[in-house]
Amino acid sequence: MLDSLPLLSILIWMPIIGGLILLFLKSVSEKYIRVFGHSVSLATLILSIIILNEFDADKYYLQFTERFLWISNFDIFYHLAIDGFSLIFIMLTTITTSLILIFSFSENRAQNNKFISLFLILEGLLIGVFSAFDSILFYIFFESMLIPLFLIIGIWGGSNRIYATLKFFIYTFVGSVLMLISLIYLSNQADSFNIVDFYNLNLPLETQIYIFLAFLIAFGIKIPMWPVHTWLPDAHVEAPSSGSVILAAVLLKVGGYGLIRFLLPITSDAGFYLNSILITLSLIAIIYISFVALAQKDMKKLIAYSSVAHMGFVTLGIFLAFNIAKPGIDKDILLLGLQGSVMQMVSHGLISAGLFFCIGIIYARTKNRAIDDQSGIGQVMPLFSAMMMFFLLSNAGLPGTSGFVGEFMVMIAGLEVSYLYAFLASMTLVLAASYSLWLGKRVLFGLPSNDNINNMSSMKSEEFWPLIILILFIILLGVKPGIILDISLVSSEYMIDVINGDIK
Amino acid sequence: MIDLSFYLPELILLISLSFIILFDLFLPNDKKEISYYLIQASLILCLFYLSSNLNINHSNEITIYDNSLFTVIFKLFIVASLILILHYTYIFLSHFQKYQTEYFSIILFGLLGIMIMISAKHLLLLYLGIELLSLSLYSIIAFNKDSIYSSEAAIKYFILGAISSGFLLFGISLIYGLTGHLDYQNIATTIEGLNLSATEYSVHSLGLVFALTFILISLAFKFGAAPFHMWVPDVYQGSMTPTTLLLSTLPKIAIFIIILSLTSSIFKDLLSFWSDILLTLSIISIIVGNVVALVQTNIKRMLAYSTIANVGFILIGIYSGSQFGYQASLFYTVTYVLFTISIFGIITQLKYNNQPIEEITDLSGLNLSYPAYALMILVIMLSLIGIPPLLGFHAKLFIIQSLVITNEIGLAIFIVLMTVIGSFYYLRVIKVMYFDDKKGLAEVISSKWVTYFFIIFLVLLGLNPEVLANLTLYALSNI
Repeated sequence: MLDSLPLLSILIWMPIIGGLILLFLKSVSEKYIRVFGHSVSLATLILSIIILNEFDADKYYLQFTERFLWISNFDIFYHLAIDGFSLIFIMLTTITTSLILIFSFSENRAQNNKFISLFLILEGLLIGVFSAFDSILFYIFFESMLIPLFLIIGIWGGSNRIYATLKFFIYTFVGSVLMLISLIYLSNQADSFNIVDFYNLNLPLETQIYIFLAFLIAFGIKIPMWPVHTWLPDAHVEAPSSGSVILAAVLLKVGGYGLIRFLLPITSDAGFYLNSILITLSLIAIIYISFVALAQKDMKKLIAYSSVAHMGFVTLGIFLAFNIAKPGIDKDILLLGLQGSVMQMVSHGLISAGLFFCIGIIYARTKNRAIDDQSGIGQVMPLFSAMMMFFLLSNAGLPGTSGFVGEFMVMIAGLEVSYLYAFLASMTLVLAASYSLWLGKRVLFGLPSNDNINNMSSMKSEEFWPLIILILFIILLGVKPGIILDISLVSSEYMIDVINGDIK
Repeated sequence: MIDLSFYLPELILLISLSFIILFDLFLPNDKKEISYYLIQASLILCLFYLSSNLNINHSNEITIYDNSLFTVIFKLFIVASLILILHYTYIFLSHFQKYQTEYFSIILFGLLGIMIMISAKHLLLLYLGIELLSLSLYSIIAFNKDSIYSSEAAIKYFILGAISSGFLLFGISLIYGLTGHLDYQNIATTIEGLNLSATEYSVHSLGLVFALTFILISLAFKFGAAPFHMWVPDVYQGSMTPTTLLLSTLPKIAIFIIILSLTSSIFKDLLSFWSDILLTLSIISIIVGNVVALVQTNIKRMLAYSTIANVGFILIGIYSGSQFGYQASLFYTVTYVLFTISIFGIITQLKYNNQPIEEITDLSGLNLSYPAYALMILVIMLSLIGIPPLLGFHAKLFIIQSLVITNEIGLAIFIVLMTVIGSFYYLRVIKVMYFDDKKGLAEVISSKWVTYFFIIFLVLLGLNPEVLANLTLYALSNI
C-alpha cells in the first residue's frame, strides 16, 4: 500500500498546507494553535520515520521517485527522489522542527499562529530542497525557503532585526541567482534539467571553473564559508531562539548538501584544479574563526562563529575528496572524509540546536545575552547547567559524543592527503575546547553576580524535553555513529566513484 | 466583399461609446453610474465578439488591418484587463467623489486606439492608433483638475509626447521615401530586395538606419525605456492612482506588440542594426530603473522606476531576435502587466487619513490591521523580485534562459545581479508592512473579493506557468 502513495510529496506538502491553513485561521486560541502545530509536525515526523524504515540502504539507486512533466515547454519536471544524503537531512529537518515547535510554546509572543505556520512552511520547503532531483525544482525550493526565515527574523527578531534580515536575504540571494545561471547553462548542455544527467557531462576545464565558482558562491554563502560568513552572526544574534535553531541546525546544512550534490560530481576537474585554494579557505574557517569566536562578548555570536568553524570541517571533508586523482591516495580514506562531513553536519545540527535552545532559555529569563553579565547560573539552575555543559563539551568534540566522530574522520582523511592539513585541522581540538569551556566557565560557574540571575526560574517542561532528546541523540550517535553512516555509505561510495570516473 | 465580423469588436466599441456619451448628457447627476455600467456592458459585449473571432478561419489574405489570432488573443487580454481596471477605477473615483463618465469614455477611446495599433499593418494606421491612444492619455492624466501635479504631469507628457510623435512621423516618411510603400508587407519585400549588408553602408542602408532609429526612439519614449524615461516618474506620481494603473499596463503591452511586429516583419532584415539599439536601451533602463528606485519614498514613483527596469528586462529578450527570446519577452510582458494591475489595483483600494496612498510609509503596520492585504502585497512584491514559485520567477527564468541559449552569459549575470539590487526596494515595502512596530492606519475602501480572486488566480498561474507559456507560444505561432 505504501508503494502506491506519493510519500515524498505528502511529506513536503503536508507541513506547507498545514502552515497555510494556520496562517489563514483568524483569532484561534493558543491551545488550538498548539494542538494543530504539534499534530502536523508529528505527522510529518512519523511519515519521515516510515520512509526511513522503507529505505533500502544496501545499494545506490534513487528511491521513492516521483516524476512527471511540470512545464512541458521547458522540460521542467516535478521530480522527487531520495538517496542516502537526502534521507539523513530530511530526518534532521523533521526532528529539529518537532523539537522547535515544542520549545516555541514556552514563550509568549504576538501573532503566534503566523510564527508556527512559517516554521511548518519552512519545514516543507527544506524537505523539498533535500528531495528535488530536477534542478529548477531544487532552485525553487532553495530560493523560496528564504522567505519564511526572512519574515521570522524580521517580525520576531531583536532590535537590529531589519539590518540582519535584509543582510541575510541579500547575501543568500546573490549566491543563488548565480547558481541559477549555471543550472540553466548545464541544462542547456545536457538537454535536461535532471540533476543526475548533469553528472555525465564532460565539460572543458575552463567552463567547469566558472560553474564551480557559481556553485561555490551559492553554497559557500549558505554554509557559510570564510570570507562570506558575515551574515550568519548578525542573523543569529537578531533571530528569535527558534529561528536560530532552525538556521544552525538545518539551513546551513543545505549548503553542505548542495556542495555534495552539485559541486562534487559535476565540476570534479575544477575542484581538483582549485583544490589547494579550497582547502586553505576551509582551514582559515577552522582556525581563524575559532580565534574570532574566542573574542566574542555575546553568547549567540560565539556559538554562531563556532558554527562557521565547524562548517569548515564539513567543507574540508568534502573538498579533500577531489584529491582522488592524486597518485597514491587511498580511495577508501577519502570516502571516510566525505562520510565524516555528513556525520559532522548531523552532529553539528544537533549540538548547535541544543546550544541555541540553552541560550534561548537564559535569554528568556534575563533578557540579556552578554557573557560578562552572566555568572553562576549553575548555582540557580543546576540541571540546566549540566545539560548546557554537556552541549558545550560535545561542541568541543568530546569522545563519546557525536561531535568527536565527524571531526575525527575528516582528520584521518586529511592525514592521507597531507600531514599539514591534518595538523592544522587538529588545532580545532584545542581551540573549540577553549572557547566552549571558557564560555561554560564564565556563564555557568562562579557565584550569581546579579539579581536577574538569582531570580531565574527553573526550566519548564517545554524547555526540558527538547534538550533531553537532543542529548540522547548526541550520545547515541557518538557511541554508534553507524546509524547515520550506514544510511549514507552507498551514496558516498557512488559519489566517490562519480568523481573518480570524471577526473581526467 | 469585406467580412464585417472581423471588425465587429471595434465597431461595437465605437458605436456604443458614441451612444453612451450622448446618453450620459441626459442622465440626472445622481444617476450617472448607469453610464459606467453601460460601458462595462459594452466591454463585455466586445469581449464576447472577440472570443467568437477565435474560432473563425483566418484567411491568409494580406490586408492593412490584421486580424490574425495573435491580435485577437491580445485584444482579448487587453479588454479583459480593462474590465478589471475600470472596476478598480470606478470604486476609487466614487469613493473619493470624483466620478465623471467622461473619464471612462476617454479611456475607451484609448482602448480603440490600442486595438488599431495592434492590428495595424500599415504605418499611417499605426500612427493614427498611437495618436488616438496618446490624446486620450493626455486628457485623463490632466483629469484631476484640483491637483497642480496632475496638470504638470499632463503638460510634461503632452509636450514630450508630441515631440516623439514627430519623430515617429519623420521615421515613417523616411521609410516611405526610400521604399515607396507604407504597408508592412511591401516594405518588407522591398527591403529584402535591397540585399543590405551590415558592414557596407549604402544610401539605402544609411537612410533605413536613420528611419529605424527615429521610429525606435519614438517607441522607446512611449514604452518608457531609459534614456527616454524622464516623463515616467513625474506622470506616475502626478496623476491619480487609477490613471497610473491604466498608464502602466495597457499602453505598455500595446507598444510591446508593435515593437514585436515591427522587428519581426519590416525590420527583419535589419536585425544587426536594431539589436544594438535595443540592447543599449535595455541595459540603461535596467540600471537606471533599479538604482534610482532604491531612494524613492513615494510608492508610485518607486513603481515607476520599477517599470523602467522591467521595460529593460522585456527589451533584453527581443534584442537577439531569436524565437525563444520573443516568447520569453512576451511571457514577461504579460506577467508584468498582470502584477502591475494587481499592485496598483490594491493601492487604489487603500486609503490613509482619508487620502489615497502616496508614500510607502502609509502602508506601515498593514500586517496588523489588514493581514490579508499585507499578504497579497507581499506575494506581489516577491513575484516582482522573482522569487519562485511565483509567476515573476518564471518570467525572469525564461529571459535568462533565452540569454544562455544564445550564449550571452555575461548579460545573464548582469541581469541577475541587477535583480538582486532591485530586490532591495521591493523588500522595503515588505519591511514597512511587516517589521515596523506601528499600528496600521491604512484602510481598505472596498472590493475585497475581486482582489482576493485575482491574487489567488495569479498564484495558481505561478504554480502552473505552462498555461501562460503555451498561450504565448500559440499566439506567437499565429502572428
